[in-house]
Amino acid sequence: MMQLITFDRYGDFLDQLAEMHRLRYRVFKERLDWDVQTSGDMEIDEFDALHPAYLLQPAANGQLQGCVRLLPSTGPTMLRDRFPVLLDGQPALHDPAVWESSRFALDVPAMAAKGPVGLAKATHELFTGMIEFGLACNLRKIVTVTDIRMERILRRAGWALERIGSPRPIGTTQAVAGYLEVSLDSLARVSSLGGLKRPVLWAPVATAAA
Amino acid sequence: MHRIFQTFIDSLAESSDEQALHLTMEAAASALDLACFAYLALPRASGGDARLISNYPTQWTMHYLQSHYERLDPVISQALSDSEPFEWGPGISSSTLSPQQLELLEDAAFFGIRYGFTIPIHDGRGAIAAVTYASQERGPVFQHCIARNGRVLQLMALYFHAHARRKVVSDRMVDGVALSRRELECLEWAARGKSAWDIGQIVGITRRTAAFHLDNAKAKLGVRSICQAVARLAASRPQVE
Repeated sequence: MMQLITFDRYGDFLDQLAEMHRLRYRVFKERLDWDVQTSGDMEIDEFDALHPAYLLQPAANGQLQGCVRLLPSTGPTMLRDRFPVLLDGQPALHDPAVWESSRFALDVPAMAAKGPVGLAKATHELFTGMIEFGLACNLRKIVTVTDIRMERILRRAGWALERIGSPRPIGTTQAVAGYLEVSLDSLARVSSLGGLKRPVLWAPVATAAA
Repeated sequence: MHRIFQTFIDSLAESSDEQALHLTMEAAASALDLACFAYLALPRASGGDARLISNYPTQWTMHYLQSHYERLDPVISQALSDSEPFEWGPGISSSTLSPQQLELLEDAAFFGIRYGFTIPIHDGRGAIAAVTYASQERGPVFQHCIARNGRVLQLMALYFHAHARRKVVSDRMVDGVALSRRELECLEWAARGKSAWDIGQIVGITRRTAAFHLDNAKAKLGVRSICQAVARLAASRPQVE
């Protein structure tokens, strides 16, 4: 079951937050070699100081295998403040019904269970968790800066990115910004393409987030 | 521990200046039986100023800065070379120290800073900050404290650093928009007639990266040309020629 951690519960989820920063280090520093801020085996950036909501995805054995960070578009976001060039001249959306996802990380072994379309089941679960969170908060869209590799994965999973601007080389990747639809339709599509039969987000927490 | 961390995080959220950040960290460190803390943000540009948020005795910090102890301090040199958190103090560090370094540590101990737990923070280029929790307790007491609270101390250090970095943003506001350090730096050179290639040479980045920062600055300011961006910069900073 995925966990939603909101600002008022950070203290209760101290250990899980530490695990999340470790997972992010493994993915963004060790695997992708991005220029990120690290300390020991943890990664953090200034957007973590904005009290984001975090979705955490434990594996069956309890270890953390996935996470994503969510921030309201009505405040500072990575697209607006770090990568505005990806807006291609358009204004950044400033809308309570739109949140930004960032630091999406998945660390699953190569032999991990795959879903019906060949992607790791964990990928579908994390996407489904994001849509469930969005629905619980009455969101219309989730905006995100991602790369074209992840864009292909999103399309395969049934959650195609609606591009805002054209891809641009940033660092070692081709980055692109876009919107992900939050709706019952997209939930049905993503969870069925993932072979998922029931909600992934821990229900009492999802309600509390609304 | 969970309550201490939540209180700390809540207090960070309310902190709008360095004084408030100072009080936030002091309260949390004290709740964990650690008397002293120091947050040191290293200078971003060579020749720039370091930022220190600390409750170390001012006599010590003044003496430290005047003697340029940061060049000698074995704790600083370890934090520069490795981002792994580490403990230090009599009987803990295994590296050999020069007579001058031993003298530095004796001076510090005189001011009540004998044992410490330092959490360095690095980015792609190297060390950018370090948080130290210090105590004058005897070794075993201090080490027990760190063993019990190490994880929350590390998380606190990271979140403190993230908040402290955000506060610096206000120095980089142009026309109501927050530019990053690099965006502002590149724009300031562009205001002096430098091309993206020139800026790359001066700042030590590629021409393409300099152009990227300038593009982002233009996008944030809602303008199409460097000319317009420079005009906005000049308008917000009368002293920029």
